[in-house]
Amino acid sequence: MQRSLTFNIFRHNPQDPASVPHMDTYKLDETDSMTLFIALHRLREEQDPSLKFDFCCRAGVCGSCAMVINGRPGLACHTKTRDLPDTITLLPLPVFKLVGDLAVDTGTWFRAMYQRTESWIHTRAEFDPAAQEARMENEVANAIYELDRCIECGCCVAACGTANLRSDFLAPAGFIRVARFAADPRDQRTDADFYEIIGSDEGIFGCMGLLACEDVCPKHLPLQTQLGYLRRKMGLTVLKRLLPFGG
Amino acid sequence: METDCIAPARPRSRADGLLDWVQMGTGAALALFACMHMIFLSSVLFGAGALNGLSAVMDALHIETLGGIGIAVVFCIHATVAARKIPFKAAQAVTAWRHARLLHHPETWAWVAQVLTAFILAVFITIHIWTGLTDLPVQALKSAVRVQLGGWFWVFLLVLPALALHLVIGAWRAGVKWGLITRENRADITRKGLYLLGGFLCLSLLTLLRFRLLPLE
Amino acid sequence: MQIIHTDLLTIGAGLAGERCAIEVAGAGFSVVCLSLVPARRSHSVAAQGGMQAALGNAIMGDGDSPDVHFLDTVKGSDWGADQEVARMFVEAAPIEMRRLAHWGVPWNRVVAGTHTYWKGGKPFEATEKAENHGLIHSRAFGGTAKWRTCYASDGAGHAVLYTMDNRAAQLGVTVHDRSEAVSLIHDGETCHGAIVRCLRTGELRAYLARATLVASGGYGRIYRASTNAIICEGTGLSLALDTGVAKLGNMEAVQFHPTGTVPTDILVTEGCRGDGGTLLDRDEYRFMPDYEPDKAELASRDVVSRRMIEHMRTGKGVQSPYGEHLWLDIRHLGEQHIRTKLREVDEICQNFLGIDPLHQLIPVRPTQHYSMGGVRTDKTGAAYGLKGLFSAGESACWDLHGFNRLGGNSLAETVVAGGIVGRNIAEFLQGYDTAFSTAHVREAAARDDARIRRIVSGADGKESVYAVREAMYDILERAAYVFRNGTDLTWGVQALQEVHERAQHIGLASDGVGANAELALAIRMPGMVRLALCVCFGALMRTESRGSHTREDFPERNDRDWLNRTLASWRPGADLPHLEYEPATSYVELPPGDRGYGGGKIIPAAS
Repeated sequence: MQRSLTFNIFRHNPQDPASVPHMDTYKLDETDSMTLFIALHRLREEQDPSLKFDFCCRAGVCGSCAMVINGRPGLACHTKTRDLPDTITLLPLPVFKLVGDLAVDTGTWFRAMYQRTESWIHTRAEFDPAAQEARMENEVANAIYELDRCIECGCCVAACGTANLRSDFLAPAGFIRVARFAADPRDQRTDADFYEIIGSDEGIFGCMGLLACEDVCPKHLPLQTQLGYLRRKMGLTVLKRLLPFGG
Repeated sequence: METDCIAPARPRSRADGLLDWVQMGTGAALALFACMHMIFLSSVLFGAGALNGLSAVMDALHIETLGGIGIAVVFCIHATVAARKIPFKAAQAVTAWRHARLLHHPETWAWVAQVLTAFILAVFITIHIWTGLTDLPVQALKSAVRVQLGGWFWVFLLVLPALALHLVIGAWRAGVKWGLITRENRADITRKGLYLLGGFLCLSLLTLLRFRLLPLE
Repeated sequence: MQIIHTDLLTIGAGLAGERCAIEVAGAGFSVVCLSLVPARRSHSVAAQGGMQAALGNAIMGDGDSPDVHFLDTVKGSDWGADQEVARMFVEAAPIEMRRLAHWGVPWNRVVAGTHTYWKGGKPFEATEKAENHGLIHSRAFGGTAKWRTCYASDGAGHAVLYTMDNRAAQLGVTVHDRSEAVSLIHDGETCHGAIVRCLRTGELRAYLARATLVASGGYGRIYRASTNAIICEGTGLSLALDTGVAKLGNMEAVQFHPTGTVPTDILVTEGCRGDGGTLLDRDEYRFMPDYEPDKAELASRDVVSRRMIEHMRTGKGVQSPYGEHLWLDIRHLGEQHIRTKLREVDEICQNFLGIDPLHQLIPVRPTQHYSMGGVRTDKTGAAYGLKGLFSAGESACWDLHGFNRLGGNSLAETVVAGGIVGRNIAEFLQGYDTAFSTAHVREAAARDDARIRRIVSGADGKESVYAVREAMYDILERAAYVFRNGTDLTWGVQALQEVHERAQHIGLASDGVGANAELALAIRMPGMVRLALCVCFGALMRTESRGSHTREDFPERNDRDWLNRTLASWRPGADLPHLEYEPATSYVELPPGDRGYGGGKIIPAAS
């Protein structure tokens, strides 16, 4: 039985001085294997060409299409309409700056995050083109990859209570980035160095442990595990400093 | 709230790490105390004599006075430190409320509940410590009078669930923050937390009821 | 209008663009990268399989060397590649893989001891050498003599792009995302940068650069069914073509991937077949060994794609509401393997198709996948025809891939070519001076601005941009897909010329204000149709079958007449590309011969 879907979509064009934020309603007949990628493009091409949203890879690997789907941040490209009720409400991600309708500026936010976390390998070793590569255990490589799988979609940031309350919070996406480098033996930064980045209320101590990030992450990254790990690591670092001979 | 990008952080602070320890440490101490306080008072279920006897022993050792003052201090510290995380500004409060309503996420609602109960507890406990400490030692009759006169029964009926919620949610969140609650045991511990909440509520409400029904003669 | 000055402007911030940018920034020059999307969302991120480099650490890659890699590459290209470029590439690739490891890529590593691997659907045991323990491992990919593909679980593109962008951030490379170049600023001899449209606000900006690099990826999205990200519309190539002087090489060489899913056209990595996945027909019969007894599913992509279409034409395809398809079977690889090593594939099946590949078959069909054609450059990466214009990666015709690229060679090309071209650009910038004419900037900006205003106001007509695109899709699907013939191509060229005319009359249905997608597509559309014409006309004129270019009416590879490269340019006001030809390679290490797979006759070169 083919359903008729109702879409309530947030509309606002910040570039148009006359635009006022509001919700628009569209109707669309559901087809087999329909995802929000298919549905939104049909709406734009058949009903309203001014509709703004972001897609890129449409295969769940680039992180462009995160939006709030019936209250939950998620990737539109891998949300199948058959898993949703007849009425679908779509909002842009909070926290990020609005580009238009459902499109938000995640790029600027994440670039600032790279700078805050210094998201690169810190090493004094120079690359020698003539030498064999430094050896690494395969398990270590797999562990790093596991933490490197973040696609920077912003779902965890949008779902995070602290990030919604304070704009200087590094948010789960920032913490998983720090965890990725902390797990990498090629990065020579110490716990004390990482404390400089995340040892504050804008950092790991601002996490309130609500686990919305863990629950919405479309890549199922081990956010909960890593947030706990970083808090213990940073908590111990600050205690060590209290000791007469500590850090 | 709308932001272009993640705002730059102020220079890192050793204080934030320490305060985090203090918040959890004082919270744990208060939780422990609240449990003991309740178990102590629930001895009234075995009769006024049981409570009075226990109280006499503790009073003789000055535990009630010293403990009371100590807890008052810990309570003040906890309230001050934990208040850092409460969205006091109107705009922030609205953001937090909207966020919780949008997300349909039980743990986020639990946090809202914890903030709301914090206000209830802050007001009540301040009064409660004052009245308690100025009227030592604890005696079943004195407590019964308090419960039965002046509408205090209804205040306790509000405060006891607030305390139970605040305590269990706080313990659960501390478990998450420090990584004791993991992806694997989360469902299990959450279920146990709910049992604890239920147990705490039952025992405290029974005790309250007992005081309510205790003959004042 | 804002004017931004920089030493190097790269159009595209995927792997090739950023690798170049890093090299140039490392030499002390200023670099600005333009990107349609945040850099890490570039299509490079979607590459799952890995990068080919002859490290020879894995036991199944034992005895590998750049020489063997060279042979595989040139054979794979069906002798269309520039052999000097191929030689440079294979020699540099192992060093580049190690450099990436140094920068932070978590390549999978060799684990000493005996492991179970898969080949052609059958498990076998092999023992990794103890002395190679901890070195970069490699896996099998189609069309290679050795296991040579460096990989990071199932997300090599992701792992490498994130590392590359980290490195770029470390060196202070500026990325202006949501920015689209709409034309190149040039005087017919020298390129001076680009007029760029901000995709947030719609404003035009001018970027003046001593060197400009096109690294915008392929043009797969001129086809309806493509595994490419939806931003791969060949914009960088059309900018170059629109200069009238730069040339596009081998535009008819378009690769189709055997395993795009139905209906969403998402690529299921070749790693599936490398690890032992098999192709089945409607009777769940494994047909590939009948066509390719030796390599079966591991024959090169064009061969597998063609065999699949051939088999479907015998009536063995599976019928579905979305058209005919075949099955990919990976059930026998086991839960552990599917859920870890092929996790991305597992996720694609579960999330986009709603099937579990552990218990169910995956619907697949050949889908547009890679564009061998691109901005023709010399071996240094400098574009033909315009000084100061460079190109690298999929958008370039360097020309490593000839008429068919091997799996794992394209991702490797992005970083290897990026490094080589980047060093050449740095060398070029050293002591190179040019004068920027403000008149040229003003003229270019005014021209673009006027064109955009006419589209928004509908001054040239009210043709729907989506209708124009559908028409282009339909024509390419019939005329220039896996199999081609003179009749359909002749029709296709004519039909595309009509569509090109319609594309001049596009008018918006919406207001075009701000981040408006209809306007962005409308600006690109005429250029996309011109690229489609280059593909179709090039394919019509090339009366032979070579690599992925398969003519039913000319099934032989004709080395006598067609051992050459098509060069397309677009003269102002023309309605067809101007085609000319140059020899495929001036340096010959491996004379033309038989690829050893794919069948088909060869007309030898007259000696």
